[in-house]
Amino acid sequence: MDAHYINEVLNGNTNAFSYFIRTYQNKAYGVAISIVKDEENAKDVVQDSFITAYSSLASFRNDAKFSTWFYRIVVNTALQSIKRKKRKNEVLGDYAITDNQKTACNNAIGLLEKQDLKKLIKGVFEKIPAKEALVLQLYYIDDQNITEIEEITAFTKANVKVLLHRGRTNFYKVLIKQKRKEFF
Amino acid sequence: MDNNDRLKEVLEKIDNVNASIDLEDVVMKAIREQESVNNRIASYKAKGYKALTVSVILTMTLGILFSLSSNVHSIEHYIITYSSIILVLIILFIQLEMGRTKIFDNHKNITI
Repeated sequence: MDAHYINEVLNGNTNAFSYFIRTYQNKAYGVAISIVKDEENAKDVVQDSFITAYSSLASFRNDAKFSTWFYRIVVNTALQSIKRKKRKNEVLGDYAITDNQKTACNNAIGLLEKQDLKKLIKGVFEKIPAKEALVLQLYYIDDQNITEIEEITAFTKANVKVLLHRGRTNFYKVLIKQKRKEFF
Repeated sequence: MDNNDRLKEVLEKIDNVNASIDLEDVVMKAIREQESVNNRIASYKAKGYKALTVSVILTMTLGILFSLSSNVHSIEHYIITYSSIILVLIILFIQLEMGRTKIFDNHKNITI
């Protein structure tokens, strides 16, 4: 399907690009917001990424997946954006999370309704460092595997695994912090 | 079950944590504007190449005309000289018009 619309756009049918916007804008927004942590900035990142993708579509190799190629543009644009606006990460503390705590968290969030769970995850991702939140978003929400995340982010496989581990730990830390406040 | 797998299983329920967005109109508008700017740049480039070609031809023509023997001060010589100067002015004017300087329009606006 993607290949058909790519050919249409390359043959001069600009309107065919709408298909890509409709198909990928929400996922791209999720990726962007996990990095920039701000809705308006994330929308700007998605918009810029689509324009970059449109301009560079001729350089896209048809043997690759359009989504992987496009998410990589989104990640690069978002990382450039946060480089300009140095944002301070929340200090999450340097302590270990026990298996019991993890199990308790998983059980508790497993009981939440879909909307409450979305709200909770959104809040948690906002407090996790950009790269970790990005890897968690791609792995847990967008269902990308480690190899795909490696291609999208240009991080090494080992780095992706480290970020995933750290991201999970921070995910539970933020959850435990919030547990005292609202959700549990 | 491993906690990591359990987390994956719990989060499988949701495919998007953020509210949906609709950037189709904004992005398509931006793309069309970019296309229009690119087309204008391409058109200016094409006109620039045409003007450059005309200038090269003119320079060569003038070079040939003025390299003719100057000891023949005939009426033809003066005709050639003044014709060349008029030709230069006409071509300069055409080039300025091609570059959208709109000499006549501006002149009309000033006089009105």
